[in-house]
Amino acid sequence: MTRLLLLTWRYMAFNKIKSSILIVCLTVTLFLPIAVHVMIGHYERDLTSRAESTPLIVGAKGNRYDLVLKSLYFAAKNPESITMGEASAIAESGRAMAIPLHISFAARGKPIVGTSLDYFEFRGLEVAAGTLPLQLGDTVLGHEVATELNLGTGDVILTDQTSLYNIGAVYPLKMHITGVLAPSGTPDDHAVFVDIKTAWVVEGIGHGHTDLTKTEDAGIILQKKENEVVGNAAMEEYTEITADNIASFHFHGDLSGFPVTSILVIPNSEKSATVLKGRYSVSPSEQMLVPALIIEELMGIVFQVERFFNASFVLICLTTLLFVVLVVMLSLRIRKREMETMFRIGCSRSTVFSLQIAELGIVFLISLVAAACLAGLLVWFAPQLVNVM
Amino acid sequence: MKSHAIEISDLTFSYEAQGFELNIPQLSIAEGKHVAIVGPSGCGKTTLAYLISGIHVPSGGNVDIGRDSITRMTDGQRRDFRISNIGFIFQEFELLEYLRVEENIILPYLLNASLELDKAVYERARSLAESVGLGDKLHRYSGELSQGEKQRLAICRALITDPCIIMADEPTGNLDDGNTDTIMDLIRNQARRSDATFVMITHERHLLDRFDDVVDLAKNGGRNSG
Repeated sequence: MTRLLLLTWRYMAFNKIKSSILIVCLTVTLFLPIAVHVMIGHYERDLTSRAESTPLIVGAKGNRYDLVLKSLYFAAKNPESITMGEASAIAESGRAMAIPLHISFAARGKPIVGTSLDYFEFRGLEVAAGTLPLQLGDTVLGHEVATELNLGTGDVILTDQTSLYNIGAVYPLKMHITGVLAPSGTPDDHAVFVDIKTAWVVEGIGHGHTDLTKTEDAGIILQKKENEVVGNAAMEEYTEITADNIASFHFHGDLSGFPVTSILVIPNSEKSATVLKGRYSVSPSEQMLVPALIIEELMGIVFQVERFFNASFVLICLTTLLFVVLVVMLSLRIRKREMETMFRIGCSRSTVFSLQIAELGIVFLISLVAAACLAGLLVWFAPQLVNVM
Repeated sequence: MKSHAIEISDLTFSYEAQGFELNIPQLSIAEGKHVAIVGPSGCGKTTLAYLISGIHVPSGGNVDIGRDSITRMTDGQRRDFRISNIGFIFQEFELLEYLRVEENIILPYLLNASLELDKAVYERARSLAESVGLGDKLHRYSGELSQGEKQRLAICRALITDPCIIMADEPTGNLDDGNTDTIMDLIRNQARRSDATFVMITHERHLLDRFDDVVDLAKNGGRNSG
């Protein structure tokens, strides 16, 4: 047997390209279904665990998947906004804790999540350095954001311009990083956190500027009445919140009417949850969703896709099998004379056949080991890959 | 040493599809003799060599080597007999390009588990290679050798089992005159050294005076009815 293996190995080593093509084809064929299964498994666990840890979500009526994916993973299209008043109403009902989320903007491509301090406690997030966003303008980076952008406490980060061609659009806000979160292995690692009021400043609802009542620069005054001073376009609007100008930041209008993307609702009891669900079931403009159910629905679609993939893998396997058969047949034709020589020297036909089987066996074994190694690597790196994807 | 005279009687063999028929009523090759088999193309020289070696099975008659009857052996017995007792040198060398020189020499041992592959075999391979001037090329692939070197390698492979019969099918057919003389001397010397019977198929008439006997198949042998 050792002698046959030596002969086979020598043949394979000499015909490197042919052997490599066979090995790569078989490895890919073996690895693909494993890869899809592993990735979907991780994806499912990742999605499900976050969804299951979030009891209820309130948002505007519309696409349920967008609302849940945006609220849990800060990804997907921006759903319609609801008002901060909904969060206050839920909190005031005494039936649940309400955590507002404002997720409409980005800083250097990373989603800005405007929320309250309750969010960090609810998600079990802790700072690795610095502090949580305690005041307007304070910014806390998710672990991966800090690593990827090489930023830390004391640095600044600019919000992304929303429109290059709209001169009326809000200027990017320079935000001061006051903390970096410890890694959590969740989408929170990839987000930029600010207080919800800071998010409103980013949106342009709140702003800070020169105190017109105290300014001596008459050039920036457009109109001065008894109780009102109106500035003109020369008035300086702050694009950075600092200790010197923080007091000048203010909001026009009632905070309860300000927009939030969604509200995470953590009911006190099942009864409270039922009552709240009942209340929102008749709401004309808002919906209350159970994230776990929505994700389950979503995974149903993913699993259907996986079944489709599995069906196509059968075709891939069949194609690979035919390819291997073709290669073996061509190889037999090419090696016919060599086989005949072996027979003439004194080798049995069965030994000649065994050589072919040994070659296929070695190719299959190497492919299996390679596929297993790749699968091992995939299992190892799957959490990171799922996050990246 | 076991007797290895070749005795053929009433041997018949045919390729029906090609309308070829070989008839050898009687042929004796004495032990240790150097015999050339000649004849025109298609007369059955190679077929006769294959029948003596047990590669082909005759449709009638007997081939005896010493006390062993090749024709009465099973396929497996014929293979084992061939690999142990007959060293075959093919016209086209028939070397395995993916094996190195040393591995090509010991190929019979790699192909048949009935032969014991031990250190002595490797030493013998090295010694054979040195005797034919391939001692410094043991780790080269056969494809890297010249035509003359390839034929010398094929000779080493045929001799590695120390066979009592050396069959050579036009071993010099692809060689120039200089290489032909070298190869002929080499095989004959090796055959003499081991007291082996040497049967060579050739169409090169000028080589015939080097043999003890010449069998002309044109006179008594194969004919093509087509």
